[in-house]
Amino acid sequence: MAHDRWMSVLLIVLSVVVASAFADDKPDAAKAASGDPQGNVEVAKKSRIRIGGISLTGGYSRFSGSPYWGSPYYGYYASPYWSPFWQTYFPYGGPYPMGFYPSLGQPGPGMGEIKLYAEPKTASVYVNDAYAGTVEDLKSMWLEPGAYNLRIEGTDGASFRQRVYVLSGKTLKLNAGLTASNREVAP
Amino acid sequence: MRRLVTMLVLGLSAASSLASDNGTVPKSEASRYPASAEQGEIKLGASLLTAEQVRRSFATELSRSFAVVEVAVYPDKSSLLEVSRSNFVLRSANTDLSTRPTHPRAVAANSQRNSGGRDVTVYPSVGIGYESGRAYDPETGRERRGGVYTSAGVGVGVGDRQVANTERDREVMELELTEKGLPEGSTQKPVAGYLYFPYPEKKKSDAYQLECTLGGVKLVIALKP
Repeated sequence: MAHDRWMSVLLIVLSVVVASAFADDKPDAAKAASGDPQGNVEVAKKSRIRIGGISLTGGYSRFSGSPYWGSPYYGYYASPYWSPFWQTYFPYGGPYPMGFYPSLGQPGPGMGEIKLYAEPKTASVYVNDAYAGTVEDLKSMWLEPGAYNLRIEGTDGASFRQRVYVLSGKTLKLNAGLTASNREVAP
Repeated sequence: MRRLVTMLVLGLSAASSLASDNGTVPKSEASRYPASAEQGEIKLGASLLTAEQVRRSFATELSRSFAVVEVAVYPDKSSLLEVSRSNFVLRSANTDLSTRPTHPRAVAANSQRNSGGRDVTVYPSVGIGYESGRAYDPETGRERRGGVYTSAGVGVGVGDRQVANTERDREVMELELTEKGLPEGSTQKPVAGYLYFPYPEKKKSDAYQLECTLGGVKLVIALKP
């Protein structure tokens, strides 16, 4: 029994470590760009939900109690199955049925990300001439695939302009150095 | 006569502006590019981008299939020069195999096709629980005690990769490649932009030659990444 308790403690610690390693930042609420003349610009942070796939599961399960129905509670298991979600754990052996446990931390389908690094954080960000927020608010922007004119303006008149191309599932890291002149920065 | 002159001026302006919409900003002189050449009044500057430079300059994935060359043409200011992708040839210095620039639409389609694939994700999992309650083993008749159960496993998820493989992505890639591409048309002003050459051979060479025929003048530049 003592062995099982130690094993239990070890597995709890392992669970916490694994869970924290796989967890991503919780996405913020959607932010919409306002006043877009074309009406097709949307700056949003999407929930990261991964759907679809084939899972092949294998592992080892052990029960410390006495045998039940003449079968011991330990042994290896392997279960290939299709599941759009995380596998559930079924502690009494047998099948591992599909369950509704969405895994967070995956990019939204069909969108691309812009990671913005700029100083000062209070500088205003414009997407296709529409105000989208401050640099602080828009460290990470999720956009539909497309070409956008990005403009960042500081309170002291310094600015940064760049035409950016967003593709689905890709992340564009943009280190924007604001300059006093209003020149176009070559991509 | 005045009408004819007006139409001629307008036509020339339009033709000149054709070549100035897209591309990159030409450097002040052709000699500022890593490789340059001049013949008469026509000057040519060029730079073969490294894979890292391509990755930093383009959202479109190009480095695996295409040699990207930034080209700047400095025409004779007294006459119009016709600039076209078909004026350029990239030749491998080792094997003498050559290719011509690919249209941005074809490059985008190729990149879209290569963007597909599969993602494999590994999900380690551990479980622990306690079962309480009383039960009897039907075979032995003994009372069964509760206990702790533990498990460890690993799940392998296989799914389609959703990276730049939609029709919209292809359109965006084509737009990017066109906007950054070498402007085509008649011009009196310096123009610059990128050309996308499929590699002349499977094994990438470490040295290339860019050949260009502009206004009946042939220019050859040695390129190294």
